[in-house]
Amino acid sequence: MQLKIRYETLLKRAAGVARQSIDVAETQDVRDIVGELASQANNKVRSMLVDAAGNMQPSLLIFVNDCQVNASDSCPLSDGDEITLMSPISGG
Amino acid sequence: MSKRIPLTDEERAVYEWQMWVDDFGEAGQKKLKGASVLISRVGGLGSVVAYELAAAGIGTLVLAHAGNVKSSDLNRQLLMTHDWLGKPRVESAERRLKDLNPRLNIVAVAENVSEENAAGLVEQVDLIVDCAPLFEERFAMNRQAVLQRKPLVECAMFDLEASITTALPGETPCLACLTPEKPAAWTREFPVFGAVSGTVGCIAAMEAIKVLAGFGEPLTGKMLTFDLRDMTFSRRSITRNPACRVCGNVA
Ligand SMILES: [Zn+2]
Repeated sequence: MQLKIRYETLLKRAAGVARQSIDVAETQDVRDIVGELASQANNKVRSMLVDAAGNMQPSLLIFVNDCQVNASDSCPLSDGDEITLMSPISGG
Repeated sequence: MSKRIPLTDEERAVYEWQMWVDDFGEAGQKKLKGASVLISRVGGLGSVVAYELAAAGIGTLVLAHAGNVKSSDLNRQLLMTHDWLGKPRVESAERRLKDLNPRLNIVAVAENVSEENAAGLVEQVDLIVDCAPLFEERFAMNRQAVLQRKPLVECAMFDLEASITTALPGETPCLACLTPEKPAAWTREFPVFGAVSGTVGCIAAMEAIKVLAGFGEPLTGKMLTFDLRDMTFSRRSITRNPACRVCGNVA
């Protein structure tokens, strides 16, 4: 299935693109997608997605379509879903 | 939530046009007059929040911001002026807000929010708008907002982007639900146009007004993000983390 990926904030800057599409196997969970994106990404993006051990960064904000997904939740995906990944910001 | 204080004739004249707003009216204006708001840092974002709340006739603003005005503040911190370079920021803010609205009560605190002073600051107000540039300050504020059950508008920006949500402790996600630890990628200095921090500042002021006066639909359980580079706005649902170390046991 095909998924739309959207990067926001520092992730968008580090990735150099706001959006990309990826093709993945049907069974994947959103956490697997983050892992897959991390494996393809540059160092800066990877470090915002996963830690040195490959575990998802606890501060990463993930939305599937218009809903947030907690890192502990499993979230099945469907073809055409949009996954938004955001690194929290604090500028005042 | 805030007490209603009768308006004077002068106040009725000043706030007349906003009292025409549906669901707000004179009752809403009285609530604003009885309300107090804490703004953590009156920099690029907090300056605009404070200015809009002062203009709207909020009763009391508690402003927390350390340090003196620097040249590099002046592209966005609209309460700071050239003639105040080298002098305390919070005094500059107080002076400018009083020019705009001499009826406003201001408690000016020349300190940033910390674990030590957060409780005492939060105690003084009905609502908080957090505009601090450091996650450590925001985490300290969030803990106290949850402990004291005070609504907290969390707003932040970076480059041409911003995010904002309004947290009601025990009901909607707190900052720690969303960001359990400081993101390693965040740095103290960040790219900023005043028009971006000002945009999210105006939205934050409107959130505070809606919550205090009790009308409209604030961003409770929702996060608004936007990017002024391509004018994308998204409003998405956010969820409490049942294992949140700050609000997990608050019902
Ligand atoms: Zn929480």
